[in-house]
Amino acid sequence: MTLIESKKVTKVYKLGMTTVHALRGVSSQIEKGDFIVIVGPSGSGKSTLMHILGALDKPSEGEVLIDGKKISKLDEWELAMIRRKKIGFIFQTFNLIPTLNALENVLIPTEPLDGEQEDYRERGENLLDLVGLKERMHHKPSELSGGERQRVAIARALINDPEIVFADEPTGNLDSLTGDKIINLMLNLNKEEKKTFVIVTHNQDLLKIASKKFIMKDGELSKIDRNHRVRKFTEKRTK
Amino acid sequence: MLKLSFFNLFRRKTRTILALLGIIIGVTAIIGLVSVVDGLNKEFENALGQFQGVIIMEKNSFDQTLSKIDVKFEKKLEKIQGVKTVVPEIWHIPTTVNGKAQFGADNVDLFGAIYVLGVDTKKYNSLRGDGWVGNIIKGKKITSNDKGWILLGETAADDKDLFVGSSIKINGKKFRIKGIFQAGTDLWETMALMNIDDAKEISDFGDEFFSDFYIELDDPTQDKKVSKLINFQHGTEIEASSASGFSEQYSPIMDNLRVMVFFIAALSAIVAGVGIANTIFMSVLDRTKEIGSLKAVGWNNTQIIKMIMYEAMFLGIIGGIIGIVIGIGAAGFLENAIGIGTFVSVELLLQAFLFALFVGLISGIYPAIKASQLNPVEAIRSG
Ligand SMILES: Nc1ncnc2c1ncn2[C@@H]1O[C@H](COP(=O)(O)OP(=O)(O)O)[C@@H](O)[C@H]1O
Ligand SMILES: [Mg+2]
Repeated sequence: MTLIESKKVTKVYKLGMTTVHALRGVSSQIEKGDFIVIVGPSGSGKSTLMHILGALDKPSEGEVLIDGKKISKLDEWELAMIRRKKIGFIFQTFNLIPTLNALENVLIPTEPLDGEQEDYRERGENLLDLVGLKERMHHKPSELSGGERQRVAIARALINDPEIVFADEPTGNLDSLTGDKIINLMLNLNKEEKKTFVIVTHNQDLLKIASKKFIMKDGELSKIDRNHRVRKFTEKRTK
Repeated sequence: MLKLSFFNLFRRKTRTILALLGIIIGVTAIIGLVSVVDGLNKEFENALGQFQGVIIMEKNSFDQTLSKIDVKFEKKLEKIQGVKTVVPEIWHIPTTVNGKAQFGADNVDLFGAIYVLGVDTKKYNSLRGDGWVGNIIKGKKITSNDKGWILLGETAADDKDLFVGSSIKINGKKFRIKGIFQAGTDLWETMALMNIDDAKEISDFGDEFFSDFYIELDDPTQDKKVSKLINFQHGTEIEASSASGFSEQYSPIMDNLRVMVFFIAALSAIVAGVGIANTIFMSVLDRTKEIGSLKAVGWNNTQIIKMIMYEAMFLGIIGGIIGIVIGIGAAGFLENAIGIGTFVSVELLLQAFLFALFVGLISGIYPAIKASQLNPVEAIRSG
């Protein structure tokens, strides 16, 4: 089942005299249960693509369909609703709210919803348990390590039970051991909870575990051929 | 969300405190100033509440002590329909009390001065109400037999250490105190009430004039109507004013004071408003990224606006409460340390609080809308 589809999406930024072509016609499909990994040099347009696929931003040209609906036809309110219900975001810099504790941060996306606060609370506690932070629920972000903060962010991304989670360099600010744990956590969520993940990363190792792998270069997205290109990447890395 | 907004205020304490100061000063100023106006107003109301009848004075004399009326009006007024009793009065401000000048270079206390009211005591004592005098707290009323006796207001008695039975020299003539009264307001409590013949003797009133007449009516609620009738019939020489007419005379003064106070309040509102708007706007800029991520997790514009408006509201509430506490203190200080009468009504406190809340909310609008318009992508990329 296709969750999100992009058709010839371009994104152009005009900065005075210069124009930046961040995306040059990207077509892609995200299927339910995918564990997609996108690699590529910085500035190649990975974040831009992720924001557009996640209904945070609109393409200059082309079309994005979420559940078959064109997002260009939706207003701000409907987009917010899609982000709230269908999509979770995880950022490199966590973006937690410093005055709230871990649990409250996790519950932030439920704020606009009506319904039982108690139910959300229980769900939040369960999610923090799932990411291994049961004991640290009432700590403020400043009292948590980087890895713990990112786990809070993951729990926050999952609180509204989205179909798909976008993670933009989720391990970029973490040491490799902590990063691996975070990736494992996401992989488990993909296997056990059937969550769809789209992960942008510099870490080429992730390509090994991806169900679909892409490389972004100069605003163009290309599929990495299963055996050929991966080997090339890993060879490069081990040199 | 309430909690989130509340704690957001404490992230930049200095800035929040500066914004609060604006509101606090505004609220304090309002309570301080308005309580003085209200205090004044109340004093007047108390003073006017002492009589319910009609006062007849010489035309355009404004004050009883400046008025002179021909004695023949006593009979004329008694004939007017609705009039029950006509009490002739002589008001006089003595030049000396106990041999000392009441007004001089070293004594300019207008409100502390003793003044004399001479009345036809027979008629005066038959009045339904208390007349000018409220309760007699010590001693007795004076009657028409009590020549050389006075009834003295409590303020004057305390001021001069006088008791029932003590004597006092007014314009050189010796009087003894028969009783001491409380009028409920300082304005009347420096008065010495005496028989009208005694008053004639110490002042330069002869047999042809009185200062004014105090008229009691069959039906006190008809005071305006009877005043009108008297003014219609004798309006060329005398002027009748009713209790309700009096307050109407004072109300323009009070209204002017209110306008002034309102103007000051409006100024402080602008200052406070700019302060709050600035505080919140700066904090929105600081939190660009945070607001972006709120949008990324599905908050819509309305929720962002709500969050910022709550912050503004909290600023208003906290500032309002602190301002009220300080304002009550300021009013108390004016009253006790400086001696200006103040009156802090619940209504005033409520108004001041609503003012603070209103200023808070108004100044939150612009930053709130700005915050909601942040492009989430830009916001997340920044910093
Ligand atoms: N708001 C913007 N204005 C102008 N150029 C931008 C803006 N956002 C991104 N870009 C440019 O678009 C290109 C792609 O950026 P980005 O998607 O962040 O790349 P990546 O995430 O792969 O590092 C870059 O050249 C970047 O400078
Ligand atoms: Mg990026």
